[in-house]
Amino acid sequence: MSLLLPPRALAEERGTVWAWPAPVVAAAFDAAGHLAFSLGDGTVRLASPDTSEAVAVPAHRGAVLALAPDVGDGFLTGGDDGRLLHIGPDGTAAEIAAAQDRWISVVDAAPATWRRLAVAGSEVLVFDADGAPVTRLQGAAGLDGAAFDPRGRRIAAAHYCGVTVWSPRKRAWAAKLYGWQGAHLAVIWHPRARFVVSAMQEKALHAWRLSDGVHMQMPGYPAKPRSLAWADGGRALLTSGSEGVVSWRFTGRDGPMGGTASESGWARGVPITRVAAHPHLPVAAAGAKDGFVALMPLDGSGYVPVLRPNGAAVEALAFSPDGRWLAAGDAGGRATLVDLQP
Amino acid sequence: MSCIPVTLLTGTLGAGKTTLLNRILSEAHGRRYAVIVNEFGEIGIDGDLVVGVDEEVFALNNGCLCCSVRGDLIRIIGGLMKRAGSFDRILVETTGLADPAPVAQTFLVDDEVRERTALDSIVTVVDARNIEARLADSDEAEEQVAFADTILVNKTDLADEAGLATVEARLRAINPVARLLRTRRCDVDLGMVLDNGAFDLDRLLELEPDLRDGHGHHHHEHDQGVGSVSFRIDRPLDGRRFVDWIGMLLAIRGADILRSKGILAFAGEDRPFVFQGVHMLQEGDFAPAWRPGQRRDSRLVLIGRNLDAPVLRAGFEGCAAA
Repeated sequence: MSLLLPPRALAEERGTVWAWPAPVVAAAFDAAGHLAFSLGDGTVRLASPDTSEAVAVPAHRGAVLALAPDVGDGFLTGGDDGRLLHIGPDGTAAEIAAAQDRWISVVDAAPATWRRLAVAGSEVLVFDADGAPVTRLQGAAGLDGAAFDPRGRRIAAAHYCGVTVWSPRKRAWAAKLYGWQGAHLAVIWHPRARFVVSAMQEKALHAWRLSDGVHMQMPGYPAKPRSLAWADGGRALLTSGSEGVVSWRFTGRDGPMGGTASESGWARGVPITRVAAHPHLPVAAAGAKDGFVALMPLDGSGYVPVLRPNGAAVEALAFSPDGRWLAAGDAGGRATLVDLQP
Repeated sequence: MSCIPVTLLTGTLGAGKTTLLNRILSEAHGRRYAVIVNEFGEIGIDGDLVVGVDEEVFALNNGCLCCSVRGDLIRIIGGLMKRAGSFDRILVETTGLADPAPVAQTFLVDDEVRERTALDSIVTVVDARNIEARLADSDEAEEQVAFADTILVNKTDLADEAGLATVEARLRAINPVARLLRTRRCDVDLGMVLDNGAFDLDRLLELEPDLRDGHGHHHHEHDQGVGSVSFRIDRPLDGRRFVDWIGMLLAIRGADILRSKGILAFAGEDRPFVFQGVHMLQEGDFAPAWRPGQRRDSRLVLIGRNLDAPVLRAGFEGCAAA
């Protein structure tokens, strides 16, 4: 692999680079392939490979705390001004909700049901496609992450002492607690909804099998694993939190139970802060605390440098839905869009 | 990325915390604060970033029984850091009933918080007229005094000199390291309160432990109360031995030892080793240099409950280099 390394980082050959005056907090592509970066100064930057100009949308007062592709096209954003916004691909911003004195720290949208959610304090607010409130789910203390299941019906939320899964019933939402001591910061659904996995303050993951509640500890990280991505059609969960990309196998009925994680063979002595999985090729992207970004085959055998280290932690990493583009952003305000087409 | 200094304000109900907070904000002199408060509404200063919190304390699942942290603070500091550059100091106000330990531990235990912030100092405001009653009836009041780097003895205009002297002796018995400042309406030179450095080296250097009997300053009417012991050794320490000893001591007795601080001379080192701990958590590093003319000895202060001075002294002396 190393013999095939290009002489320069990939972004220098075939990338567009922007330098902005505030940290990049997140990056997302919508289903149609539009790209948005969210920033710590409250702006959302709509970027396109067709032009080196990015459209700055003044979205939030304060920082944009959460960004996700919305149903249809465009993006959902939440901010520390308490507002939940839809940002259209044309740069229009429409307010869906405003929470008094609270931050909107997590957002998610479900293309299958056209529903949206936002976490405000210890509540999960649920909206329909028109922005009308569907329900408010009162969560436990320390609520910090929430996500729709792949079919867009159930909602999982991470909090102190476990994960709650809400299922809509005829009259109300039924809540089921999957408990484990400690602080759970984020939650991700298995692509076929067989497991939910939480990322913990205690530098570990925790996974529950939904059919019977059997659960497993996934410890051993030197840092908090904050970034999680499914790869290989849901057979591998990639995470940040170590110097290599950590991969847990989710094959068979038991998932990683009784197994151990593998770590990519290359390690530069700098922690990985973000991971992303290519939508259909066995390739992942990883971003490090020093700004370095690389592509790697899922077997972890080597890597192709995409961005040289610049000293600012990579905070955002996303592949476009067609897999042609990779977007990256860092805490120093550098954002990059790289064309991966051969 | 440079660390944002954090000042923690504690104090019993009605002692004057909000008065102090308002003074700091209104006399900011170009500093930009992010303020983390329990309740909105009490302060309203335009242009400052004010965030409300719920004081969510949770126990870490790391096998350490006394190790609880503030999840809300971890989240909020993570969020604040996304707007890096829009403020240059953080103030955290706690409720009068809050135990300061989880707050202080948050700044020691969470890697991301540690990378981005530094606990500059803990400031405790007490009401000179009723602090003795509060100390008698509330563990939290004792702990707020025990944790303080600076204590404002407030409302002194409403107390007499003899009463103040008694109060100060009582505070000193709990916490011999803190700087005591008398104030009326928190009318203090803010330079004395802010910019102290998490570890106030000067205060510790001024500290003169009672070396003849190496005893603790326990308040004998309240045997379960918080007291302190302090020691000094002239001979250089074996660094490895000290680190092992203090680590073991805090692991075993960390529930009782609220606060520990030390400045230490290790054999073969030109720089002082500066150490501080909150219950079982600790951090230590070499300071750049001894001050010119500074006596190169080792000083250690432990603040807590049930401190057995002779045993602790023997342990500390056992760390001397051979």
